[in-house]
Amino acid sequence: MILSIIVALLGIFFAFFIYQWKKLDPDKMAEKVKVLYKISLNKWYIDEIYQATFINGAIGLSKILFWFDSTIVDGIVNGTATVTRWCSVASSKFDTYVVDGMVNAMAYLSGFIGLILRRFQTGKVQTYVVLVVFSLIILLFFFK
Amino acid sequence: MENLKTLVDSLYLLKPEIAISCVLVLVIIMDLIMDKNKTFLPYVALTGFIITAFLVVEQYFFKTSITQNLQKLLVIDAVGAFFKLIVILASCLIVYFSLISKEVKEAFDRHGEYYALICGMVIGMFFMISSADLIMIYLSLELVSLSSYVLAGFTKNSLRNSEASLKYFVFGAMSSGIMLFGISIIFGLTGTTNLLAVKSVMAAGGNSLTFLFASILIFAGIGYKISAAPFHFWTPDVYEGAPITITAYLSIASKAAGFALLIRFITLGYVQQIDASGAWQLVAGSIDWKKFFTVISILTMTLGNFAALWQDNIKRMLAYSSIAHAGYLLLGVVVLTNQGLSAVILYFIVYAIMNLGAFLVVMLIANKIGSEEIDDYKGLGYATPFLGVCMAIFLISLTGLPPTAGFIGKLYLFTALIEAKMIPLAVIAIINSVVSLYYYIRVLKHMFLTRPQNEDLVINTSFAEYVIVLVLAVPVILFGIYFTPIVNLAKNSVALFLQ
Amino acid sequence: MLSLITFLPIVGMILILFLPKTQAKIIKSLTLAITGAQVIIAAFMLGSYNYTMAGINDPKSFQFIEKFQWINIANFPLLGNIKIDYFLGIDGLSIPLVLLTAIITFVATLASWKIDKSIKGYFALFLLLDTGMMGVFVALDFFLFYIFWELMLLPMYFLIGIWGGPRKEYAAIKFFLYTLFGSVFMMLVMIGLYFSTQIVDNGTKIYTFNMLAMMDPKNFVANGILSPLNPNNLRLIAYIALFIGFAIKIPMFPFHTWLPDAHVEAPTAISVILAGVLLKMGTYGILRICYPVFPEITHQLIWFIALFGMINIIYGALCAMAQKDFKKLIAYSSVSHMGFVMLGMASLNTIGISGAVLQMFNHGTITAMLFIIVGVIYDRAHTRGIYEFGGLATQMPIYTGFTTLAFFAAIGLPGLSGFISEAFVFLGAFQSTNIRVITAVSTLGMLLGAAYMLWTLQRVYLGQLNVKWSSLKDLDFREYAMLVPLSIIIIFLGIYPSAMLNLMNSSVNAMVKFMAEAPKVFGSLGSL
Repeated sequence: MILSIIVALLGIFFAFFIYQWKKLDPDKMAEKVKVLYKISLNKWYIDEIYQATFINGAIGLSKILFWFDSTIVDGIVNGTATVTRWCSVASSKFDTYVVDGMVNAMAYLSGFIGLILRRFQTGKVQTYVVLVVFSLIILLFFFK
Repeated sequence: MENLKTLVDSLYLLKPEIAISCVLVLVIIMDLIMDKNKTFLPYVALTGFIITAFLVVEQYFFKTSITQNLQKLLVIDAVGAFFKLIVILASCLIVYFSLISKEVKEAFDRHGEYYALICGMVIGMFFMISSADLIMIYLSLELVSLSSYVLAGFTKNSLRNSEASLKYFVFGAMSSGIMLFGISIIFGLTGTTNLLAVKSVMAAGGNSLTFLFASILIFAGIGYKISAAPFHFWTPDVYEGAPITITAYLSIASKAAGFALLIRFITLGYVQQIDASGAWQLVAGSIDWKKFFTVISILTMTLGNFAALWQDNIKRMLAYSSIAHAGYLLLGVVVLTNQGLSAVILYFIVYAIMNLGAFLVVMLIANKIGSEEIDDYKGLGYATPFLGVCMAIFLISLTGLPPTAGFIGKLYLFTALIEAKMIPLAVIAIINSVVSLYYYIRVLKHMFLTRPQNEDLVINTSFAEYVIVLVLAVPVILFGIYFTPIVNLAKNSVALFLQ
Repeated sequence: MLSLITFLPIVGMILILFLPKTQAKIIKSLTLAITGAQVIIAAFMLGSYNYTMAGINDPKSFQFIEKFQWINIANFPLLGNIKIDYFLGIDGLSIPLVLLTAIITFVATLASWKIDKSIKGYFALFLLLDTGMMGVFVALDFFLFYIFWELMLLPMYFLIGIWGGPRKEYAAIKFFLYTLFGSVFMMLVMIGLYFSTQIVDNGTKIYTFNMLAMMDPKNFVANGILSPLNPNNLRLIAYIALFIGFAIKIPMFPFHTWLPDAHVEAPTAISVILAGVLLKMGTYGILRICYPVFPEITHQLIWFIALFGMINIIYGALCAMAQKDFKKLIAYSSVSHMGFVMLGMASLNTIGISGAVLQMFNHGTITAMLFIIVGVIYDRAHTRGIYEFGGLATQMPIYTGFTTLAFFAAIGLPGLSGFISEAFVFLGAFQSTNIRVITAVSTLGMLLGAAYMLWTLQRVYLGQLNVKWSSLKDLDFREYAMLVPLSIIIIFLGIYPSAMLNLMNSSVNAMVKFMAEAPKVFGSLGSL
């Protein structure tokens, strides 16, 4: 405590020594200990260091985080939404073409069977006679 | 002399046949005498049919099944009487239909032969239903066929009419030829044509392969009458070409007689005995009728239903539908039980009503718009709501949906099948009835779902038409909801069957 | 009472058939009066309903029973005496659905007010349909049930086919063939069950169609085709056939494709009926018949029921999301929501089944409201394309308010009825250990539900108003009359669900108890 007071008093005395009583030429002094002068003039560069490290760091980090958030995290969210929409379109297509397609295919199949069975009805009685005789033979072999 | 005496004593058993023969003669004589004015001829026939119907009802209540009399040529029992009743009632209705049919009216000068031929068909069918002898079967079958060939070509005014008649004739001749071939083989094997005698020879051990061959050949003749696949080919062409009244008649009466004949043929010729539960025990060494009918009925209903999907002419569509229904009816025969037989009988009552109804509506519409193409039915439901709704009732019943009688018929057929544990067959049949919905509903679609091309078209229905349509439509709904009477009728018909 | 509520519409139909075609006003008012009377009767039944009686498999604890002999045929070959009863009754499972049917039909009558083509035919068929639906929920005899079940097919065919949209013919026949395909197999199972169940009547054993008798092990016939006593029984196959018959009505994936077509083409009122009542017949049938008649098979297949429930939920939601047609979207959302019912049923515990039954009721009211909402906009704009709208909230604020309510109820927002039933379904399903994974996956469906609903809300109602629609009017009186009662029900059951839960509680408990005990009884029968 005493030490710090002494240092402070020494500083005050030094300041008076230079600027009040003008025992030393401040410009010359500055010329002599240029580095020290500059450091002290710029408050030990504390602001600059602070700016460079903490503030810019924080801003940079936030920028990264923001990028992460908007691109990756939200991207996942939006991606999920997009994927869901793809899925929905896919399942809708699946529904229309596969599930419903099978239902309609059954209907077409029935119609097709009908179309084939109808072919036997040629309108020519000769064909009918031949068909009857053939089916009789088949029936006979079937039940032999 | 003794024979003659029993024959004369047994004549009372033939009252319906005798009555209908008198009607036939009367119609022909009247036709000859009354040169110009023939308007009352249908009424003569109708009266005769109604009298015959009463005689048939009397026969229905005979307490026993009678085979010993009449030289064992005929069987008189309740099942036979039931089918005769179907035939005669269908005939009455067909006469009524003919009275309001434009097509028949146009051939006014030949009315005499028209009704005479119907009488001839009835006689043939009556004998077909009760015959117990192969010769009798063949003769009656021919009598029915010959009359129906002429009737199918009766109107003569269109080409397709004559074509139908000729095709029917050629096909029929072939079928009965095949049948006759089968009969001759059986006669050669057994030395008898009586089915009961044939059965006893068979049971003693006959040549089974030849016997089987003959059985299938005889079935060809019966299958042709009931239009079972693969003997159905004549059906669509003839049904489309013949006058609607005759088409309706063939689809009911002729089919009823055919089924009666089939049942008679199987039970007399192949069934050893009917056990207490009502199952038919086949004679040893006979053809496996169960398997045979399964195949035939699957073929018949599938072919009928699927081919019907593509028909544009409603008569042709109904022809295929009647083939399909023959397939359903065979389901009742497949199980070879009394229960199955009662299901067949029940289905026949229902089928007769709904099919006649459908043909009636088709005829009334054809009278008005002159067309039988389904495409010309567009919007007709709005032009004639009454006929439209009735058509809907008949077609829904044909599909077999509740609350119509068609459903009850199908229900009992499936009941018989499931009781016999023939599930796969039941599944095939039921899928078939789903398919059938499509072509039946297609008619309704044209009638109701499309607006009429001609908005002003109004089809008026006369009082006579109203009455007859209602006579058929009301029972379809009524028996669908309260079916005790028809089930009882079916039950009573088989109660005394061959026991 | 039950006969009255069931056959009143038939009486109305007959009256309408005798009215001249030109009396459109009278026909409409008559229909409204009849459906209104149904609501009153249903409310009266609700008032005198005894909450402690369970029903399910016990004929004595059904309420409003009506039992008469309908068919009586003695000594039929092989079948013996055929007796079929006209047997109606309700329990906690059916009374919510009877109420629902009465309310929805009433609302649908209002929704049909603007029908202008063949009015007489429309309302006659409408009332016939009404009888069919009501009958299904009150019938306790399988035969009667089946008749009612089939009875509504034909009117539905014509209602879609005559008064429907551009592809009405395709949609109508597809509906008809598809549902008939399901129900014919039901008929075979019905006959099979008939031959497996015998009750003693006047000292003789007779086969019966009585559903409740089919649930009682002591009625089984030794060699019946569907009897557990028969070692070679076909119960599993029969169960699947019966289940598919009902599943087509639900509609369960992959048997659902008739639904979008039918909904899109049907007029608004018929869509309301379809979604509001018809779909419930499927799940009701499963609960009423499949479950208690085949309890041991149900236990075997419960995992699959849950699985198909899950597929319905997710698949339906995904399909809904992809739709550009508003009505089709709602149709697919029904597929999704009916999945919740199946999931709840599969839990086999009180909470889950209560949730399922409640969800049936809630889905009925909510979806009916959604279809009315689509109908409102379609009446005005003559289009249903979701992308063609936008910003309707500014033009039609009250309408948008109702829409938002219905949408939020469908999503399952707390405070609205949909939330309670979905929550119950999930609570119940999570308790059932063997379907826990399925349940977990199913919760995704709620998320998807929210997604497509909110997205639709945004696309249609929020944003910039399309100038094309700047002349649209807000709701009129008739539309208020439809939407307000439904909204009240939705909010009321959201706040006070016990009103409905108490109603079904004892029945659901009885059912859960039966389902827990019966499989052992049924299962052990085969080894006898």
